[in-house]
Amino acid sequence: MSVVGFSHYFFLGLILFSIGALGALTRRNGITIFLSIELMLNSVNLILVSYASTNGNLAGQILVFFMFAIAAAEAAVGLAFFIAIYKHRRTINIDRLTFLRW
Amino acid sequence: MMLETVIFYLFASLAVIFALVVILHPDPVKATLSMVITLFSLAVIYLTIKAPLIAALQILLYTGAILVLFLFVIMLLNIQREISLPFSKPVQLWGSIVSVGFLIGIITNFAIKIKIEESVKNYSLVLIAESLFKENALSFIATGFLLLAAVVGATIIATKVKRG
Amino acid sequence: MTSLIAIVLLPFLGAVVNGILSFSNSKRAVTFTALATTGGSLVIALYTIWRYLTELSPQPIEYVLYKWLEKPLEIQISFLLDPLSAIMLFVVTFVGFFIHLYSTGYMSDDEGYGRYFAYLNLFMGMMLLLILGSNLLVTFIGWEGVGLCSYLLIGFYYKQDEPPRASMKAFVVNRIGDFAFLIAIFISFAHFATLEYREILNAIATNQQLQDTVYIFGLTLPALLALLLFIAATGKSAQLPLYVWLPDAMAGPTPVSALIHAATMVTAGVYLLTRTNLLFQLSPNILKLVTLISVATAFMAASIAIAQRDIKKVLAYSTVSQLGYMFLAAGVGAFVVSIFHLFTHAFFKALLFLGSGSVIHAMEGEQDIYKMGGLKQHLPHTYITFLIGTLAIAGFPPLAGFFSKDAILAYTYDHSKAIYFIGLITAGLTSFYMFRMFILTFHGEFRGTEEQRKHLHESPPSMTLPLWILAIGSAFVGFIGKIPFTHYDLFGKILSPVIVKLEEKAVHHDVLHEVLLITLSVVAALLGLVAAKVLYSQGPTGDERLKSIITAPLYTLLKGKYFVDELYTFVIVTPLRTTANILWRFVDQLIIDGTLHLAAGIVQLISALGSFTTTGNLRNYMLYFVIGIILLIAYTVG
Repeated sequence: MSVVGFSHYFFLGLILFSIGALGALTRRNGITIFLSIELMLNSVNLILVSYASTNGNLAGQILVFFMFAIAAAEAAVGLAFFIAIYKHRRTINIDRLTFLRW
Repeated sequence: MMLETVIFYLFASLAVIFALVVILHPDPVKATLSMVITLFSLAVIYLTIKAPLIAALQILLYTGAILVLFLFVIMLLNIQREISLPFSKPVQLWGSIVSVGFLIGIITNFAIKIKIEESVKNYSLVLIAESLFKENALSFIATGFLLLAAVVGATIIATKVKRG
Repeated sequence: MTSLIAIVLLPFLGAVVNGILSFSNSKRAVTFTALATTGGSLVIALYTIWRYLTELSPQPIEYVLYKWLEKPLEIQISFLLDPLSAIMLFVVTFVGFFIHLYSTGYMSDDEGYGRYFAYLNLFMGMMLLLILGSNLLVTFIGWEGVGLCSYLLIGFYYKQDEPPRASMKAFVVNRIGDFAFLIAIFISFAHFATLEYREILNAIATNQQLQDTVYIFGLTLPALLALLLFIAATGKSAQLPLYVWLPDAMAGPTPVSALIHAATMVTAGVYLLTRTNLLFQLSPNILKLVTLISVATAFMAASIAIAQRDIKKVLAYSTVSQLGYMFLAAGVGAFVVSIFHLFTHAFFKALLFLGSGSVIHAMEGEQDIYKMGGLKQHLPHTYITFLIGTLAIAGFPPLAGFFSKDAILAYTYDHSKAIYFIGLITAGLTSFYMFRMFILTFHGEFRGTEEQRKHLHESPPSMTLPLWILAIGSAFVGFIGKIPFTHYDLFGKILSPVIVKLEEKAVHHDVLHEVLLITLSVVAALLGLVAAKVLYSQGPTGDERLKSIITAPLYTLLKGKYFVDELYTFVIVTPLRTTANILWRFVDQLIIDGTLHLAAGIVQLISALGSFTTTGNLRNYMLYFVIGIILLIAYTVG
């Protein structure tokens, strides 16, 4: 393991995760929210890889590999949704996309 | 020794700063470009924990593909008038901050109890490939199908909407 | 006896096929299906009956189709063939087939052709189920089934006002009787743990204690069952006080009146009484009740019939009256004669109804005998066959009605002179109203419109053939019964295993008595004929003279059918309707609906309080999600 301990990586991940979470919870722009979610995903990736490496385990890297694939699929579908919503409503302002209620 | 520490702190602070830019900058294009820097910094950090494959994939997949896709969509939609949207109402804002604070507190609370067994194994690409194509072959195939489904789904969703 | 299944199932098959065909316009296919199924049923039935009755000593044959329910409520769908059901089987399939044949002509221009035959075939199946069922429940299924078909067919012309009302009336009135039937079924099951006729009757016959101990309301168990079954019979067989539905039931197509409301369904009550005759013979009080009610019904209906103008109403009241005769025979213990009269009546009453149908067909739907007259030249076949039917019902020897009615009167004479006397007067009245109708319809001048006169035509062969077959039957079936002055009694011999003989009632009058009785009934019939001839030879003005003879108030009473319908409306229908209205307005709309609305309102209020969380805003939802995760982690970790 490297010179800086696991806790460093963990807290870096935690900080990035909170920044992402705050962004997702407070921004109005749909694209930015999506970016924040990607950020959260990345912070979790970081923690997974660092923990696995610290423990001499391969599973973390394999898992992150699959998560990349899933993130790619998610980004494609999510952005397609934004395109569809924008075509329909002429906006991606989350505050104005409140039609999912009775 | 010292160099690695310096590298970690340098890139960690870069990542955090540009992550803040991502969520604070009103222009989605600039936010996305900041995200590139954050992810690049994370890739460097991956190198320091001897995960070169992940680092490479991070740059290739995330910065190279997914964020380009984001940029592409932002340009396509041309959402200039949405760039300067203010933050949320105070209730949502403070509620979010408090909640995330609690979340961090709780996670930290149980994270410090995690036991770590230091080990200095090195994993070569060969080992990863073996694990990927032998033990996890089924997951690998399933991931392929997932991506295929995502491509088809994204195409349908993005094209089939008829206005008015 | 697998042929029994074929007999019952063929009409059902026809009903299903015709039901499907009724959506197409293929009248030929409907005709073929209807005639093939009922005809096939008739042929198989004839063969079965022939094979059965020519056995040396026919034993009852039971065929279990399948076990419906296992013990303790053991019920099986099974058929019973014994002499009684064999005779009924013959009547139903024979008359039924020829009325189907007749209907193909009568209904040929109707748009509901397929629907009509689907109902009629269904009726045949249900009726066969009723008479062949070996236990109370199968009979009850048939009983309800024929009631349903009766309802459907009375209301066949559902676009008019009267038929749906009449069908509803028939259905509701019949429910009263069916209720008693159901209770009888429950009591039988509670006491005998079976519903099979033979097992119940055996259990009663062998248990002297059961026959003697008072069960409830001062009645023994057999008497109670007998009473309930008789109430059921008064509903289905149109006896006092439940006869009111039958005259209204004439709103249906005329062949339906012939089949259901004259020949078969309405006789189900008589069949039921004969099937359970042991119960009645064990309870003399109930038999007395049967006698009184039946003779009252017979007389009352006959007296109403003399003042009616509608050709089918006359026949309907005549049917009620003749059913009264059947119950009278049962009431005096002569169940064989009761069934015998049922048998002959099925022929001549079906004939008369079909004849009236032929007349109505020729008159373009006209049913008022005042507007008929002189149809003799235009409808020769109908005229002759109708004459045979009229003579038969009036009781002229040697036609069928003579034998059966004479036998009934003879038995009644032994029983009670007073009742015999009323029966005799009723016989005279029968002859009178039948010839009144006959003369007004066929003799004299034509009183309809010019247009109707142009349309007058004899019915097609598909209608006249059944008329002739039934006319021949009406003329000759009497000879299989008891022939006066002899010991020849084929009918009685056939039926003897079914009728329990508790005590030997030798009804052998001396020759003088027998001659006297026959003379009296023939004279009564002749008097009726002569009176009708004298009064009505100048057409409907005869009613005025009749009015002056029997005084105006009495005539109004008869014309108004003793105002029984009005009485029922006043005593039962109006209070019920008022109560229902009150219940509807106050209990239903105010209390029940109000409670529900209140509950709904409270829920709405509460949900309005909680619904502010449903903003539709994605970020609010994400915040809920995060809070949820926090709580979840706090719960699992902490």
